[in-house]
Amino acid sequence: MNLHFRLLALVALATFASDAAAQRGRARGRGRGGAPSAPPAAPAEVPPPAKVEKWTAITGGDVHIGDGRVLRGATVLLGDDRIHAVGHDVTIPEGATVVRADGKVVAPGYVAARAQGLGLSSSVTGEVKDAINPFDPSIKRGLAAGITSYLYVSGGGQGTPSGTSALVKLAYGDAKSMVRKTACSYVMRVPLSPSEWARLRELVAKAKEHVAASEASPPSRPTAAAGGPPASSGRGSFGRSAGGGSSRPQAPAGTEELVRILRGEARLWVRLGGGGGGRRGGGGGDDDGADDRDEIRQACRIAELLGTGVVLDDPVTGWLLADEIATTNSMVLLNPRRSVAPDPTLPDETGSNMAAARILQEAGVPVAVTCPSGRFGGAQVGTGGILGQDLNTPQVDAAYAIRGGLDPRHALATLTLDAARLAGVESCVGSLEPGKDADVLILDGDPLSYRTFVETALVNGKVVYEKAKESYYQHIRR
Amino acid sequence: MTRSLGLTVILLALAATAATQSGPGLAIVNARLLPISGPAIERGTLLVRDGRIEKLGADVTAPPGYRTIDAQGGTLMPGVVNAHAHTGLTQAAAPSEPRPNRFRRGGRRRGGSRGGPAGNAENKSDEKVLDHLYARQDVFADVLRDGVTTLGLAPTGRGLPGQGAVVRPKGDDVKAMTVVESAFLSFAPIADTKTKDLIRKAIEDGKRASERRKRRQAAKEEAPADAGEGPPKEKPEGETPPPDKPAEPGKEPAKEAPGKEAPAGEGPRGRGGRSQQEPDPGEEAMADLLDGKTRAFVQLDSAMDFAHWEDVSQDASFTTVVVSRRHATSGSEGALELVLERLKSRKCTVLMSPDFDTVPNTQYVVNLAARLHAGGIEVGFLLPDQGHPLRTTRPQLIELVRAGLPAEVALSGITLTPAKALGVDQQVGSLEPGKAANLILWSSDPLDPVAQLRGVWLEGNEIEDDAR
Repeated sequence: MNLHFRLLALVALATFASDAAAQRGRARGRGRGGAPSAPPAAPAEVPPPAKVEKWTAITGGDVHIGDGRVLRGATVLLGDDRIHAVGHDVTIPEGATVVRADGKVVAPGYVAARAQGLGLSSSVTGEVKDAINPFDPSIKRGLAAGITSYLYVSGGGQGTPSGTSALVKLAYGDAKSMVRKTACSYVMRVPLSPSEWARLRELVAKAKEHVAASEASPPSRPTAAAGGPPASSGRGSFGRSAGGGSSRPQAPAGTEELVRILRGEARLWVRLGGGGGGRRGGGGGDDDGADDRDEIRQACRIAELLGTGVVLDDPVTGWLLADEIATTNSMVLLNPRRSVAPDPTLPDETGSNMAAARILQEAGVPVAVTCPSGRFGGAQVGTGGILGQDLNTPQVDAAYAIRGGLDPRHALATLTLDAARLAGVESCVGSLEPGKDADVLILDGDPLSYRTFVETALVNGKVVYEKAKESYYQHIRR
Repeated sequence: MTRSLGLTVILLALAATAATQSGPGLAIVNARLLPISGPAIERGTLLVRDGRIEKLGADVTAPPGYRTIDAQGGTLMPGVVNAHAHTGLTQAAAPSEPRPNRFRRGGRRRGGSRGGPAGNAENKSDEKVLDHLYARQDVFADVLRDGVTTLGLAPTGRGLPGQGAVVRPKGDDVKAMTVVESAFLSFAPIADTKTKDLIRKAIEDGKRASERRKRRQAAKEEAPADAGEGPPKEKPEGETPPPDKPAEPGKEPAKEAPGKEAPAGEGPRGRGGRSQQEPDPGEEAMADLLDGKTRAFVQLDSAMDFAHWEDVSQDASFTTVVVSRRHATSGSEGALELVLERLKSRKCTVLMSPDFDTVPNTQYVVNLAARLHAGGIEVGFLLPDQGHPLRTTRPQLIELVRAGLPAEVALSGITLTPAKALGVDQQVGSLEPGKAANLILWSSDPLDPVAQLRGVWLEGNEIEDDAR
């Protein structure tokens, strides 16, 4: 019986794995040859620690790795705050805390590609670490929704990349480990005026020169985790690093952000439709901006100029330009529930498409899914949203993408690995792979079912949410 | 060091009382005595002589010549200590805006109407609150009439607003009011990089100043012959030694040989081109704190505030008193209860406003004081700065007691606990022989809603109140 099950599991695994691989192969095949290198699904940045103080083993669950693979009845072994091993033949060390997850689903914590209100206010002056509120009750709400980390972005939105960003972990109560990474994303907006284009070209040229020069003379590269750009390093904060990055030659003025983007240390988010932080046009309804093809094309031009993919922040007509976006190795954040009617004054097809996630994904564009967050909130996860329900719905939003035709096996990645890639943090979160952060969910059903609740959430290897103990959903029984 | 502080205080107290109180003592008879430091004495007598409590007990009798007051069975307890007040401070320094001093999340709330004295975090650790005090103000008489006999005066502002003092709310000038000139260093941190860095740097500077002191001390012990010539020629003029200095002979010579620090190669990082010889008073105040001579009064209203305070204070092991005036409105920043274990491990006393908290987004009311006390934290209470502090606070305390706070904690929380927090518990805060005769007399138990205030004594002097 047991043997049978194992065999079955093996077969299932093999099928899934080969499927997923084929899928990725197809996706890659669509990109044009000689295009700049894709943002890789980078290997974990730090090898598993040699000495582990606390082992936690989650056993018996159906483990969704986050990249499409599923291991039935496998073990996830956590060593302190990192994932140590995942598989069927994992040896559980003596003294490990064993969490039984038989009949349950184990998944990587969801990454909200952009969120606000979870322990941080909308605008932070100074460093994110110094403004964090580790006791914000909405952190628990975020965890109840499965979100274990998110990209925080404030400021930015100029004609050149700027802004403050951080990968924030929902490590409730633990201020020291809440900010995992800083300056992982910058924001700029399109459309750009001709003079803004000229300035950007000039800065990019300078930045490229600097990158080439510093690569020629072997630098001692600090890891991306060391902290912010040179401009902000050395400032005090939780667990500050002593003046990180000083060994590297200073980037020319105004190009610090571009240099980091070119080096692959940070992502560039392109806000379509200009300024503001919110929905394009602000005051208008969703009907404004049924046609953002020009903005998308400008974003693609920027990606070409940089030679590295950018992130398109909630395009409406991205599905019409999927191949163009794929060619530049750019990525897309969207809300599959968003519905924008076509512009009746235009002869062309415009407006949103429920199948956008599928179309883009099939073209080879990594897609992350986010919540609608209300009319003026922009596409992001917040404590507001439609009747304040953002934090109830990440998996439902991903399910909408499936409804639009997205391969169900890939849909989880829109909340996990691809979301992490958009945020520029795939080296530490987004999947259950050894070396990554131990952010794990134990779910009571299929991750993308509307019925599913998070039973237990671990962040950095510590249990931070238990459905049975928190007031939000403990009364809901099956 | 506590002894030296105590000595100073007693000397000062003596100086102040000697002029006013002499001759025969005072006997308050037929009173229920609440010593706070011990169990209640249901019927007893308390003797006062030279402004201090001479004796108390059930079997104490008034010696001949003592003026006798019949308490008629009323309850006698120590005068109230309001450990963190801005009473009588000039308008510019008084806080008028809501929640000026807590860690707050960045963002819109910070801008706009804020500004004025609390607008920017500053390092004013060299400033003494007494320098901003004008003695002859009615407000002192007001609070004294109401039963507040000891005030911890705290500077206002953000960041490091300065040094707080202990005063008695009576006296013709600041000197006559002063009990301890520099009792604590005030911290009013907020969750923002600039402010946190400011405090971090001040602590680092204080550590260096403290190390310099230790080096000087060591050098002094090694070569006692040299030290003799140091003091006369470089007697610092600008430096005002903390009040405990004269009483601590071991420290005095070191203090007076600032020339010794030059070879160490670490001139004090004084503000505004201070000379090398002259220690920065702000750094010295911080060093006093780090050396255990004073204590830190830190304004923290939520668990979030505490987390950031932990981050800036790191391994600093000074005595910390948490002052939480606005805990009830800290809402989504988490109640201090969430960091109970960490408060305990740092041996923090919490001085809080006697308010109930509400669980965010609900109507659930929480008795934070009772919970902190049950968790093993020493809890004291803050009273309003002016008006009728005790008349306002007493019903709140009664409510807290009704909701589970032990009565003795409520009463100790306005007397002995704040006195301990200020480091003046050898002088005030309880009814014990030798302590200042700061007394208040109630018609019945102080936590009885119908109890009336019958009398107030400050260092043995009865305070008149026509309205009583």
